[in-house]
Amino acid sequence: MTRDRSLMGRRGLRRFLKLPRSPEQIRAEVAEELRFDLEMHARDLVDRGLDRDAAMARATADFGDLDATRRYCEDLDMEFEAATRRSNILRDLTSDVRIAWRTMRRTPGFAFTVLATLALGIGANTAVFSVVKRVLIAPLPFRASEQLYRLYTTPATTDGDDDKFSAAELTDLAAESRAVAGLTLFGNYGSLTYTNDQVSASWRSVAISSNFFDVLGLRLARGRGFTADDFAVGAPRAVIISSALWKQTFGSDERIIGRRIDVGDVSRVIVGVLPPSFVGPTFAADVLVPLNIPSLLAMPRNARVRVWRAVVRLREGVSAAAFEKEAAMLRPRMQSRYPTITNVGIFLPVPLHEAIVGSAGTVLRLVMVGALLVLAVTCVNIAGLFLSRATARRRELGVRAALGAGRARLVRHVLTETGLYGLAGGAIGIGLAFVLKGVFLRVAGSSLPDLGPVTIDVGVLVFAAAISIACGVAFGLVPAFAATRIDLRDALGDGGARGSSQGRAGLRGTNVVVAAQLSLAVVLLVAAGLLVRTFGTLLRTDVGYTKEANVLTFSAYAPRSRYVTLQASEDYYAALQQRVRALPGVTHIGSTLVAPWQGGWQHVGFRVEGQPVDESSVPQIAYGTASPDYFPAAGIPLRSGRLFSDLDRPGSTPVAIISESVARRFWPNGNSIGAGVRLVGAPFDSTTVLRIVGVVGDVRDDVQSPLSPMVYSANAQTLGSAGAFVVRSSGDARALATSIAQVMHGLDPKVPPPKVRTMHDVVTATIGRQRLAMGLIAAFAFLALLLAGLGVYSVMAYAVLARTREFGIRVALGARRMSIVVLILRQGGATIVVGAGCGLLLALALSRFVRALLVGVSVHDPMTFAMAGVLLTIVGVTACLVPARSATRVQPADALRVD
Amino acid sequence: MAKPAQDLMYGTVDLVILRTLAWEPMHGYAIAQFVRGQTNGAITIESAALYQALHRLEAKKLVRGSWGLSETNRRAKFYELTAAGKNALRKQATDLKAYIAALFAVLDAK
Repeated sequence: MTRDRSLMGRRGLRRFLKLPRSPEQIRAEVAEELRFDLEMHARDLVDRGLDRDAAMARATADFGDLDATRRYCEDLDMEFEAATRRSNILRDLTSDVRIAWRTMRRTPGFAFTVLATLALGIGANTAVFSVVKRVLIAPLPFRASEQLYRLYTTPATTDGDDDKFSAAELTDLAAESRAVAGLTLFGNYGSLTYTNDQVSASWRSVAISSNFFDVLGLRLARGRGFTADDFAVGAPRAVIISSALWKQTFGSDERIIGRRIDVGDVSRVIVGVLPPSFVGPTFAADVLVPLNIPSLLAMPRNARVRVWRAVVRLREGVSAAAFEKEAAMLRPRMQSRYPTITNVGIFLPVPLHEAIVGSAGTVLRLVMVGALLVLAVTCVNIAGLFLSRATARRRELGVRAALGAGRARLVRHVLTETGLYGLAGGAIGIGLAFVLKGVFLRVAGSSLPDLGPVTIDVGVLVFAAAISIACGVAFGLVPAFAATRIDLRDALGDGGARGSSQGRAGLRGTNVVVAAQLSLAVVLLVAAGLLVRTFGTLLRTDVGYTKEANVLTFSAYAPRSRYVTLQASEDYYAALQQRVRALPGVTHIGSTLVAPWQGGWQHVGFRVEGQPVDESSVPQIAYGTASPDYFPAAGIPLRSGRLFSDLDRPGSTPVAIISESVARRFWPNGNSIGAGVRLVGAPFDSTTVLRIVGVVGDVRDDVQSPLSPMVYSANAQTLGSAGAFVVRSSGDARALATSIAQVMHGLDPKVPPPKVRTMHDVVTATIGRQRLAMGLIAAFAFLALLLAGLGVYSVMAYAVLARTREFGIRVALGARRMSIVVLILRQGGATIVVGAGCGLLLALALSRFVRALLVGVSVHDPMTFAMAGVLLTIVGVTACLVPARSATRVQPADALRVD
Repeated sequence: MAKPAQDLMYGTVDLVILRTLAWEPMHGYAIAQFVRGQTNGAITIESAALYQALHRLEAKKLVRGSWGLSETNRRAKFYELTAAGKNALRKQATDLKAYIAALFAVLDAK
């Protein structure tokens, strides 16, 4: 038997080339093999004397089941072929991965930079977008939530609430409007004290009308919503508790429905538990209590008081505009029905989602843009890194191409390497996303509406990872394609090292990439700068009271179940004040009904004795009470007259203190002291005339609201007036906070423990939104700056490497080392100047998008722009200096010996 | 032919093929001829069974097929034993011999 080695060779080559056999080829080969057998057999039979046709027939008959055998062999071969192909792919992949891994280990700096960039870009974006998606994009957990609207109105007074209505007008609207499918009322019910045998706690409560869940389209996790039966005579008071409360306070008790608890000083029966995903239309609530609309409507005075908020569900297909139009038509009738309600019947619908998210949306959108810019910088950075490295590797790729690696092989190699970076960077990025999400939510605190738990969004993660990796792949592939085209002599000769024309083109490409990075970083720096300046302005804003960290504030509430009479609770507050004052370090303790930083000021009608007043519009002024030490403790200055004293007692002349803007408004000539005023709506008889004894500074109830005119009555002359305390200390405020809690526990363990905060924390909490925006944008700007710096560094380091020989020659020819530094700085400087310039122009065009968040600073604040430019230049030049330093150390002999 | 040829028992076809290929690489028809010649026509392998077995053994990587020229100068597919095939042959032959010895111990028991 002879065999043809050359044919074997071809088969071997095919296998070596891993060229797969096609199904047609397999079928042809099987057919040929079997035909060969038949013909050999037939030939033997012919040799033994049969004629050709008979021999062929006999051979076929002898063979057995020919068709079945053919099919069997074809199937087996195809399976075998597929398995071989799979194992070849795997083998190539492992080899590619091994090579890529070796490359990574050989260039740890590059690997670290790429991985850090990828991880930060992917992590930051995933974290931010997951939050954005939850808060801004994901629909509310209500049925057909796009048909739900919060109602707003035009308030009666400038400082009135624009979202409160009377029960009368809302009930009429629900009855008469055809656009409205359902309307529900609710209102803040304040905090209710829960007490059991061991503990007491303060629960936030909201009152809701009984159709609340029907209108929202929400099912309770357990039990039922409120019904009219809950208001029947003799029926127990009903309450619905939050999911968190059910889990934490009641240990997920399966038989919670029907259980009686003491809350708000009365016994209530739990009728329902909210689902964990519940989102209140406005307030976070621990418990919901029923609002008895019929009994409200029964008393005209209660029916017309504007204290309720409302959510409407419009009928399917009815737009907000159509509803507004209808409401305008209904308005005249309401006006004639309720002439005493100012601005009655104005209903402005705002989509419920928008109403809940509110201004946090602006912050989130800004943060989202910031994250996108960081993603862009990430992509550009990755592109730049791979581009500059690929340019440096032209030589290596040239060698591989010379050794016979085809384009496909080189491309696959680059893909594997980029893929490996992508996987590793992506994995770190995922981890980072979880960490950053936690940080984000913690920093955001209560500035973000609570719309349920934020989960890392897989789609976002994949998108961020894909786009950054795609950049690396795209820019990594350019040289791989180029390598199969390049002149091998050029690559192998000196092209790789000396910067041939192609090398210079690559360098120009990377310069553009770096300039782009720098300009994006400038944009973020400007945004961050503007927000930092805003934050500074807000922090410096005079709120009228102290912002010191050594002044503490807390609220106490004596539960009515234990302090039945007002006198009993007054005694409790007096005892508490006395004990706290006795604590070491305490210099002043003052108390008031509602402190300005707690919001929710009461307004009273302000009537000056002897001054004519328009009965239809009695001036409304914010009202508070104060103890003698309240003003010095809170840092509110006395402008004239005197403060309250211990002599202002229940029996003595009723006194009042006004803030300076009240004095200016009603007594332009400055003779307010000694004047008499009546306060309508204050917790004492409205005929009581109070003597003004002093004028104090104005205060704001939050950093961004205007100074508010205010009138105070003396605590001691107003029953039921304490509650908020201000403690000024000379020592460690944090330690004092603990002591205060201990004192309260010692006095009565059944009173809920206080939340003691420093005034500094109180003030900064009111600017949480700005702080959130500032913190995140500053973090993004820092990240972008870092990445841009890395970009400059990597390009300059490569440029220096590429010109090593040139520098060596220059030094050998007597160039001073300083002149080499200048040479490099000039090269890098051009990129930095172009990048910074473009960035500043871009920022100039874009900065108006942050206007909504700025206070007291122009969107084109020259100082901020200048600082951004300077900061970027410093980082850029520093990034140039590092490689420049190494360039000055080039020894001429070494440089000339390279290669 | 004095007696009609015996078809191989199921399971022994693979072993016979492996043993035959241990001599030298052959194409399918040569394998059949070889077996017939060795047993003086006592054992024949049906061609259908032979080719199915060859492709099965190739898929198991016990033999390797490659195209070459036959003694009649025609393209034919030759099979050769792989290293794994040699091991399999050794093991299967040992097992079968042991089995047959045991079988005879029963059949010849007196």
